[in-house]
Order: sequence, then C-alpha cells, then structure tokens
Amino acid sequence: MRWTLRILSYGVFLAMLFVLVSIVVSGLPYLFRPGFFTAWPKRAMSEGGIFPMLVGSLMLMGLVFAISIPVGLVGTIFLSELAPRRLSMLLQSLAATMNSVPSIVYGVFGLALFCVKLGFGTSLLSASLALSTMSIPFFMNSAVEFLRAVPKELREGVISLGASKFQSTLMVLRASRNGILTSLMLTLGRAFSETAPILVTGAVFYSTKLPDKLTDPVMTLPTSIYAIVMNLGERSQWMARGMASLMVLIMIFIYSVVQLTRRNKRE
Amino acid sequence: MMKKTISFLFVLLTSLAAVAVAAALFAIVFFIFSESIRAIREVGFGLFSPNWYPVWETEPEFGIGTMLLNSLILAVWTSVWVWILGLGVAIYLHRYASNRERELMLRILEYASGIPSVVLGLFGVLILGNLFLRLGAWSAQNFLNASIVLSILTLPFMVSLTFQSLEKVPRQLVEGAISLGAKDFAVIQVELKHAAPGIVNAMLSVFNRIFGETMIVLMVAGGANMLVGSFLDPVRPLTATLGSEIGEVAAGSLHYSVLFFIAFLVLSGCLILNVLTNRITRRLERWIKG
Amino acid sequence: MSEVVFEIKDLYAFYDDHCALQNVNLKIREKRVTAIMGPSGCGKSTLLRCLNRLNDLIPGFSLKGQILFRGQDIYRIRDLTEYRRRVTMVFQKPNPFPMSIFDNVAYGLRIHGITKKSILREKVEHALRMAALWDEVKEKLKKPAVQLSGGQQQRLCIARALALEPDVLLLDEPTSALDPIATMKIERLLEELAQQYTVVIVTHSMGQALRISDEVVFLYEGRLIEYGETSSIAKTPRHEVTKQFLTGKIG
Repeated sequence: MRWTLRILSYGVFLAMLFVLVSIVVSGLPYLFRPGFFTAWPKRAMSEGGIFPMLVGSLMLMGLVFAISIPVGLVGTIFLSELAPRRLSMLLQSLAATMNSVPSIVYGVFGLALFCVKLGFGTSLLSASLALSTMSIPFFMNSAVEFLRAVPKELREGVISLGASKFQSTLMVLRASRNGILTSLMLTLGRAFSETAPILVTGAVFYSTKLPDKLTDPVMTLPTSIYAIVMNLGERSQWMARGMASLMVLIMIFIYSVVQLTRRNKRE
Repeated sequence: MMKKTISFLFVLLTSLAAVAVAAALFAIVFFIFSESIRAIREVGFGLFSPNWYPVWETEPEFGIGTMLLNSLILAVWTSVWVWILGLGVAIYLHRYASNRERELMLRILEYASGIPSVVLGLFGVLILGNLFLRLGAWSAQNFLNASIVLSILTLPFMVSLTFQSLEKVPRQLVEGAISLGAKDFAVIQVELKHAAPGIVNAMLSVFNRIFGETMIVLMVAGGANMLVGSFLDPVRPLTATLGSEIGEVAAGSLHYSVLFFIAFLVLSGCLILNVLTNRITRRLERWIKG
Repeated sequence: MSEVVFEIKDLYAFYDDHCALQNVNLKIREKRVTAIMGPSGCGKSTLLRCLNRLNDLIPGFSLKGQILFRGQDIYRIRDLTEYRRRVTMVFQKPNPFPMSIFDNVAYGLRIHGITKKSILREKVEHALRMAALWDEVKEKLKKPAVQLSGGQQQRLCIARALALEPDVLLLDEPTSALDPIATMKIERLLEELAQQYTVVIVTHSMGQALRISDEVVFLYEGRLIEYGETSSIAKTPRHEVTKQFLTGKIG
C-alpha cells in the first residue's frame, strides 16, 4: 500500500514538476532578448517584443481590480457582519455556485450584455466587466471565510466599548487583513490567468496602438499566446513560449506571496 | 442623526453589493437563455443531430450531438483518471509522507495549479504534441493529448481538496480505530468514510471543471467534428466550438443563437451538478454528523 | 446604603425557545463589588450581558421585563454607544485588538471622539496605571498587544475599559483562563477599583466571590435563588442549593 502510493505520488509529482519546469525553461531565454518587454511585435510576431500585450494585461487587471475589489469587499462585509444567518448562507451558496460556472460562460454573457446590448463592443471595458463578474464572487467566497474566522470575542469586545457596527467592522477587517491579502492575490491570479472571457469580449490579436479609451479593444498576454499557437507558424512560437514562461513566473510569484502570508499567520 | 445616516448608508451599500452578486447569477442564466430561444424555436430537436455545418450557405445544419457526446466522453474518461490519481496522492500525503515531502509536494502542486489554462494549451500543442507526432500519431492534437493536459489542470485541485478533507478527520477517530487493532487499510477506510462529503465534492468539481474548460480543448483536442473512436483521434468538444466561433458570428444570427444554446447547456450542466453535489454531500454528512 | 445603579425587574430572557432567565429581580448598588454566581449554564453570563445589551448581537435572543440603569430603561436607550461607554465589559477570554498596546487602550477613546495626542497619552497612562500594568508595559507601548502574557492581556482589557472612565465595570469570569498568580493580581486590582467603580463580576469560584465581593447573587437554572451580603450568605445560606454550592456538591 505504502509503496504503491509512494511510486504513484512521485510519478504525479515529477510530472507536475516537469510541466512547470519545461514551460518556464522553454521560454526563459527569450525574456532576456533585448527589447522583449519594451518593443512592439513585428513581422507577424516573429520579431520584436511583447510591450502592448504586457501593458494591455496590466490595464485590464487594473480595471478588474478597481471594479471587483471594492464591490467584493463590501459584499463580503455584508455576508459576514450584517446579513441574517439564513440570508448570508443563501448568498454564499449562490456565490459558490457562480464560482463553479465555467469561465467561457462569463465570456458569452459578457458578449451578450456588455458588447452587444449595452453597445460597448469588443473592448477593454467589456472584457474588464466580464472578468469582474467572475472575480467578485470568487473574491467574496474566499474572503468571507477569513472574516468569519475572526473570533466573536473580538467583535463583542469592540461593541462593548461602545463602538458602532461600522467601527466593529473596521476592527474585523483589521484582524483579518492577512486573509484579505490572500484573497486579493488569489483573485488577481485567477483574473490574470483567465483567457476565454477576454478572448470573447475584448481581445484583438494585433493592434498598432495601445487602447487609449475604454471602448478600444486590447491585446493581452493570454489571448496572444492563444493566437500565436493556433494561427501563426513556427517562426513566431518563441514569443508565445516567452509569454507563457512569464505568466507562469508571475503566477509562482503570486502563490509565493500567498504561501508567505499563510506562514506568517501560523506563527 | 449623523451617526444614524452613516450606519444606514453602510448597511444599504453593503447589502446592495451582496444582492448584486446574486442578481448577476440570475442575469447570466436569463441572458444566455433568452439569446438561445431563437435556436430552440427554429432548430428544435435538430440541435441534437450529429451534423454541424453552421456556415453552409444553402442548408446550414446546427447539430451539436457529436460535440456533446465528445464532451461527455472526454470529461468522464479524464475525470476517472484524475479521481484515482488524486485520491492516491492525497492519501499518500496525508498518511505516509514525511513532513518535508508533504510540504514540498503541496507547494509544487500549488504552483502547478496556478498555471494558466492557455499556457497548458501551449504545453499540449508545442511540447506534448511534438512527442505524439514522434511516436507516430497522425495528429498532434487529439483526444489523449487533451485528456492528459486536462488532467494536469485538475489534478492539483483534486489532490488539495481531498487532502484537506482528509486532514479534517478528527484524530480521536483514527486513534479509536487503531486502538481496536485496525490495520492500515482499515484505518484509511475509516478516514475516507469520514472525509467522503469533501471528496465527493472534489470529484464532482473536477468533472465540472473539465466539462466546462475551454482553452485547453480549443487548442489541444484537434477540432474534428467526429465521434471519438480511438485515443489518437482529433475531437471537438462543445466548449471548443463555442470558444472559437462565438467571436466571429454576427450578433443576432441563428448561428449566434445556437452558440448561446451551447453556452446554456454548459451552464445548466454546471448548475445541475452543483445541486447534485449539495444533495449528495448533505446526505453523506448525515452519516457523520448524525 | 449607597445608591442603586441597576434595578432589574421581572426579567425573562430567551434564546429562541429556550428560557435562560426567569423572573429575576435584583438591585445592584454603587461602588460595591457584586458577584453573580452559580453552576455553569445557570444564566449568569446571560444576565451580565443583558446589562451591556450585548445579547442584542445574538440572533434569536429576546427579553421581557425591565432593566433600569439609574432609573432609565436600558432597552429604551437610543444612543447605545454612549451607554456602553458608561457600562463597559471585560470578557472571559482576553481579547486584545490586533494593534499596539497603546492603541488598544486608546481605541475606546478614539471611537468616542478623543483624538488629541496629548490627552490620549495622558489617559492611556492613567488607565494602564489603574490596571496595574503601566510598569510592565511602559517601555513597549508600540509593541503588538498579542505578545503580552495572558494575565497581562486581561489587565490590558481592563485598562481599555477603564480608559473610558466608565460608571460600571462588568466582568465575565475574567480569571477563568488565567493561572493562579495572574488571577491573584487581577483580584487585588478589582478590590482597588471597587473604591471608585461599581463592579459586577460573574464567577463560578466561591473562593473568588468570598475574597473580593461585597454582595453576591446566586442563580440556579435561570432563577435567582438568593442574594445579599457576601459574608452573611457565606455564613448562613438560606437556600438548599446555595448550601450545596458552598460545600462543593454542585459546581
């Protein structure tokens, strides 16, 4: 029993390690090419760099954060501090359900509502709204656990000194700030690595300029990886490998922060 | 007075945000369904025929039968592997692994779970695909390739969820079993029984994720609309069609509506699975919590 | 006889259908230590928490009867925050806030609108001195409060309450999570505080009640069965249950 499971586990472990390493290594050298981060792609993405995709992804993340973190945090507060227990459970199970909805569905929904009905077109705005629709319940679902984990003695202590509900909520947020940071990072990771919703609602494969208004379409890292792998020949693949490697490194960074905060909390 | 207004605004604002999330779920179901009404009305049962020729000018056909079957076969086949492997790894980590092993493996698995699906797609096409060609497959993108990449996507998730529910099994229970002279295998049985709700939840979530995953099948499965006959056949699941065609059709056309019907199917599959998961876990919990 | 601070009339308290307090009638007097005693589950914490209206936070809680604070019905009070400033509470488990020692004590002052640095500093020092903690922490006021020992944390919580210059100090088994030495320090502190404050303390240690309280209230299964001067009740308990409790047959 022990040895069968050990062999199996090591097999899985080595396979995962192989995937991680092979993706990072196969793209790593390109990250050091001069101009990789600062130049525009040229000649059907066979030369140049990833500047517009990088900036596009950053803009998108900025917008998604600006929309979903305030809404998500405020909603989380309602769930854990204000709502009656029944309602809170109901809303949380709805949020959990939304979490399990495949991301392409958010893309298709965003297309129907934001691009077509509201007339935003294929744009940065539509993409960030579609991604936010997905990120808000994700954030809430993760953060609410941390707020709930704050001991009730703390809330009572604050209230017994004559604090208002608002002030006691601030204290709860303060006590769970590590957890909230974790949720923030996980949400960032999820939104950053999602492709399908952006592909459908906001991405272009090639553009000669950065979006200068919200209703312009945008180039991003994940959608460009997809476009290169599927549509362009071998001469462009290096760029996709480079971007893939970069994305994995960023994700490793994000998860390292999460692991660090987790360890801090334990001590 | 001031205080009252502030606290009122506070409650109002927070409740609005929470309700908006709930409303969003209903909005999603509503929008996707309402866009697919036209397809249901005009194509009817033809939606489930095997032939998909959406852009044929004279007589387009909108049958998603083959794709639906492919999706299901791919999801079931892959899930079973992920379940078995994931359960095995989780049991090993929980019972046998040394602290260092456990820490290292969990950390690597967590990193692996962070690999974006599009990057896994690239891995499938450029790295695994080449391997398949070298081994003599006629298409670099095929059923087996997609299945492997989907396993890579979901295994870390399966392991960590299963592991967590095994860790939650109370110590006394295990010690009780051991004190009665239970052997290793029997102890694991006790633990599995107690962790069953969490494990079932993990299993169904894995299936759900595989069934709904788009980027990987879009890039790696091969895209042929034929029923899978062998592991090396290229196939096209539902979500691949949805992902590749929805960006290119004219809004409001019949083709557009049929694609929304596909989205509606995927969404309802996910919702049904959710209800099912809740039912099953609640029933299983009755055994534990009494 | 000193003035009455709390007058409790025909009090019934419920958690959903469960009746936690039945027909409690009681007067609590100024500048004395009143101990509320009884076996666990007798409703003593419920009674104490009613005085601060903290039970309002618990879903399903309801109450019948009246609690008068200096003649005013506390369940009719509009401005609860001001009321809770005057009747503050210290809990069973020390609950320092996740901030520095100084900020912990200053917290109550800040939420009641005192923000001037010099005043804060003065009041915090005063409160810490009252709680007999100043000498132990004056060097590390900026350190996180959670780094203090359990007994220190509990005295910090008392200082936090005292900083508000309250009228009444409510304590819910404040020493049950502490070791004997820390317990002793807190008991000595409470005796001193009783010169200036009205103290109501829930305890299930008979010894503690004898050592520090002037008056004692016995609750049993939600009913008030005896109350009066601690010394006289300890000598001549009138009620059978009190007797059993005093001799350790019920605990």
